[in-house]
This record gives sequence, C-alpha cells and structure tokens, in this order.
Amino acid sequence: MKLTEDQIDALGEIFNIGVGRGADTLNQMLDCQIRIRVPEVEVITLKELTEQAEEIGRKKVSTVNLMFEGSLTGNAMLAFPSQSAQNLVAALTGEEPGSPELDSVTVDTLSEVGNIIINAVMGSITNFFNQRLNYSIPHYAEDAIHKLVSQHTIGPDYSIILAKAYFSVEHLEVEGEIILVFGVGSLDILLTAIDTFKNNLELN
Amino acid sequence: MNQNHTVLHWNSCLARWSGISKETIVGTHLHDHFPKLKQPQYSLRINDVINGGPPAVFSSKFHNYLIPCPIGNNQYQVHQTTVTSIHDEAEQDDYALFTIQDVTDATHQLAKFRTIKENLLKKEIDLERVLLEVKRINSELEQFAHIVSHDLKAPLRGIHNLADWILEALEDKVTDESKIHLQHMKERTLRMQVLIDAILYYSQNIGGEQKIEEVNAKALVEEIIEEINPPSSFHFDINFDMPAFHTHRTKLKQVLSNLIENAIKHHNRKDGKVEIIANGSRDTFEFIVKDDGPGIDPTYQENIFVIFQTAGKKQGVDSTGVGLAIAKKIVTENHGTIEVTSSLNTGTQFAFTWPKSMSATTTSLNP
Repeated sequence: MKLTEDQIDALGEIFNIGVGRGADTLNQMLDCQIRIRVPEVEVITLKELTEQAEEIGRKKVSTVNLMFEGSLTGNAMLAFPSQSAQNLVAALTGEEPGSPELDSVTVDTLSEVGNIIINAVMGSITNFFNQRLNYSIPHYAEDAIHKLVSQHTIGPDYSIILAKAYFSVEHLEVEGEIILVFGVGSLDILLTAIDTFKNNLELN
Repeated sequence: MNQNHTVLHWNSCLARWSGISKETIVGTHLHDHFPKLKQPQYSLRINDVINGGPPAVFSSKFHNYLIPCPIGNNQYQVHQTTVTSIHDEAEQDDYALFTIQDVTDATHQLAKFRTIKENLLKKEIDLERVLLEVKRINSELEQFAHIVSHDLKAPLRGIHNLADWILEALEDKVTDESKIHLQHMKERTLRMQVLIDAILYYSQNIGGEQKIEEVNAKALVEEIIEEINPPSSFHFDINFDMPAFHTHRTKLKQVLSNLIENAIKHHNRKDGKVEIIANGSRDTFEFIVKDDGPGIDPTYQENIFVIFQTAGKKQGVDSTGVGLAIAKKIVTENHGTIEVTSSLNTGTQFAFTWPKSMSATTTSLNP
C-alpha cells in the first residue's frame, strides 16, 4: 500500500511523540538522560521485512511484544539487536555490559524498558480512537525479527509499520538502535482514524 | 484496585507475604499503605493502565518490589509485577489487577552465578597472562640454551686443541702416564661437546607450536625403521590395530623413533627382535616398543627418563641419556604417560599413551 507523504509524516510524528513520552518515563524513573528518536517510518510487507531482516539483524533479536484487538487489531513489537540490548541495560542499570546471552534479570529489565516505550507509542496511536483496545500480557521473545512478526500476521491486509529508532544516553556516550514493528490487520483503519482526527482539529 | 486507588481485593498469598491482612487493607487507599506508589513514575503508569492502557511491567531490577514483603533481617522479597487493566462492561468501570511474582531465590542465585562467572573470567584472564609469560620465558630459555651451547663449545674446542699441541710439543719430554692423562683430557672434552649438543637437541625438541596432521601410525613406524636403517638381520614385528587419526605427527614420530632406535642401539645381538604394538582404549592409544635385548639393570631403571642418565655403558655405544628424557617430555606434554618394564637377559618394554584427539596447537609449559 502506497502512503502519501502526509500520511508518512503523520505516522512519523505519532511514533516520535510516543517514543519521546517513553523516554521521559524512563528518565523520570531512572534519573537518567536517555533520548530516543525515530528519523523515519516506512510501511512494508512481511516479504519486504524478511528481505530487510538481513540488515536489521541476521541473528536473533530480543523483543518485547504486545498484541491488541478492538477497533484496531495487530501487534506491537520492540526489537533490540543484541549489542544494543546489552548497552541499553548496562546504561540504565549502571552495570558493566554482560555476555551476549541474556540472563533472566536482564530479560526482565529489557521487558520493562520495552513495555514503557511500546505503551507510550500505543498511547500515542490510541489517541485517535474513541474505543478502548484489549491487550495481551506483554511477552518477551528472541528470534529473527521476520520470524517473530510472521507469527502475528493476520488477514490479507496485514501491514507492517517499521520504525528504526535510535537511542542515546547523555554523559555515558551509549547509543544504539531499537526497531519498532507495528503490525496492523488494516492500515486503512489507522489512517482513516488519523485523517478524521486531523479534520476535526482543523474544523475546530 | 479501582480508579480511586482503593483496594478491592487482597488474596491470602499477598496477605501472608506482606503481613497485611485482607481485613486491614481492603477498602482503604493503596497509597496509605505504600506511599512510594504516589511517586509519578509509578502513579502515572498505573493510571494509564486503569484508564484502559496496555499492561505495565515493573521489573525486579529497577524496582525490587512495589508491595514490600519482608523476609527478615531487613530484607524484602524481590518481585516482578505486572499491572493489567480490567474493564467491567456492565458497570462501565475500570480496575487495575496487580500480578506479583516472587523472584527472590532466582535473583539471588543469579547474583551468585554472576559473581562466580566474573571470578572465573578474571582467573581466565590471569591464566592467559601467565601463559604468555611462560611462553616468553620458554622462548628466552631456548635462546639461552642455544647461546650457552655455542659459548661453551668454543673454549672446549680450544682446550682440545691445546691438549693436542702440548702432546705434539712435549712428546719426548712427558711420561707415558702424562700422555695418557692428556689423551683422557681430550676424550673428556669431546664427551662434553656431545653433552652440550645434547642440551641443544633437548631444548629444540621440547614445546613449541605443534601441527596436527592425519597420521597412519603403522606407516609412520615403517618410515622410522627405514630412516634408522638397522642391520638386515634385525627382525621387526609391527602389530597395530588402529585407524589413521589426527595428531602431532612430528612429536609422535620423535617418541617412537627414540624408543625404536634405543631398542636397536642397545641390543646385544645382531639378530634382535623388536616388537611395536599399538592398541586403543576410550580416549587414548597405547604404544609399546618391546625388545629381546639384554634388559636394563634395575639400578638404572628408576632414573632412566632423567636427562643425561644412561642405563650403564655398552661397548661401542655412545649414549647421552637425552633420547628417553625427550620422549618422556613429549608424552607428558601431550597428557600421556610413559613407563618401562625390563629384566636382565629377557628384554625391555617401553609403553606410552597418546591422546586420540587433541587441540589444534599445544604449547609446552615446561622448558
């Protein structure tokens, strides 16, 4: 599905507002100065995601997943490439980066960081809907990104919004990449909701 | 808990853990009991959940716990907490459900595991440092042996020549006894030269990087015998029951060669028989080199693998006592054992073990 430049800009703004709020929550909670930005978003198919998987992370990635259903159905995934996961956890906990294999405490920590960011992005998106959504319990999973996403593929209109985000922690010179994969059963519903919201704003 | 943060339900497990009974807390404000939850980093996220947002996860690492549950000694359980929204369609009310998992044991075990892992890593780094130092010292020792050998040999050659000149110059002026002494002096210097060469040979044959190759042991033994070129009257019986395997060919050849050469060199008959046997156990091969020679006097057997120790003197055989010392060093470096069994006039048997598989390179720690 081809999106207009306006629509892409709107999605980019929604994601940036979301991750910004997520970063604020982390900073408040941990008394740190983390910044997260999403330079661009793109809408791709699962096939295109599989092709990009090589570049995104040919090895397994650590992901936090949240499924939702209601007026908008889909799944939100926050994926950390291995080194980014280690660097971020080390920066936030003040510990030395550990081994590439994540232990249960590190997984637990990543799950909360992912949960905070995903919830903030979800909050940013659900602002456009009047109806509430039902959510699954967030869960942690490791695998190649396209394999994880393919488990959630629903319906012929399933679309993937891919947002590569970058984080940096001030004073610690720690930075890395986070990948937000937002899969929806119907992108039209989301875009229509955004358009309606914008139109209402303009009318008011 | 409802939207006003009033506790509506408190299960018996949480009552037991927290020490706060259901009767005490239900109907009261959660913040009255746990003021920490008033802080925005908690209240904002919990409010988002109550207002229909996605579940909020509170990890053990960042929070330790939301609801303090004492376990004595001023310690508290470590929790993973998930707060989930519950919507009552009929009443159009929203609630927050706290699901708390006690991960105290797992967290403590993991902390212990991390400490052990860090200590092991530190030891590994220390060991690597020691290995490097040992390598450096070995290399210096090798150079030292080389230099010393050369430096010692030069004055020895001088003494030998001087003895020659004295003999020539004073041929008519010294007694026969003195001539014999001077001759002995020359012989001793030659013997010392042989020993110095042996030191050099020993230092060159120990340690170092070893290449792994596929080895057909039977073919290797045949090659050794051909190189030694024994009298044709000697009889060799090679009895190998083993496949080709990957090993340090040069080192194995050195050990077998030293043992087979000894069996021939020290034999008292020209029609001697040498039997070379190999068989395998689970992780190792055992090689046996057995002769029907004169045997080794029990007095010498104990120190036979010590450098410069020889099993007595045989007429016409010049032995430095280095070959078996080298064999033992190489076998030990490769985590094997070597032993001798011998009785006079019956024969001698050397048996050593050799690993079936080995790492790509092995470097000796022993100079």
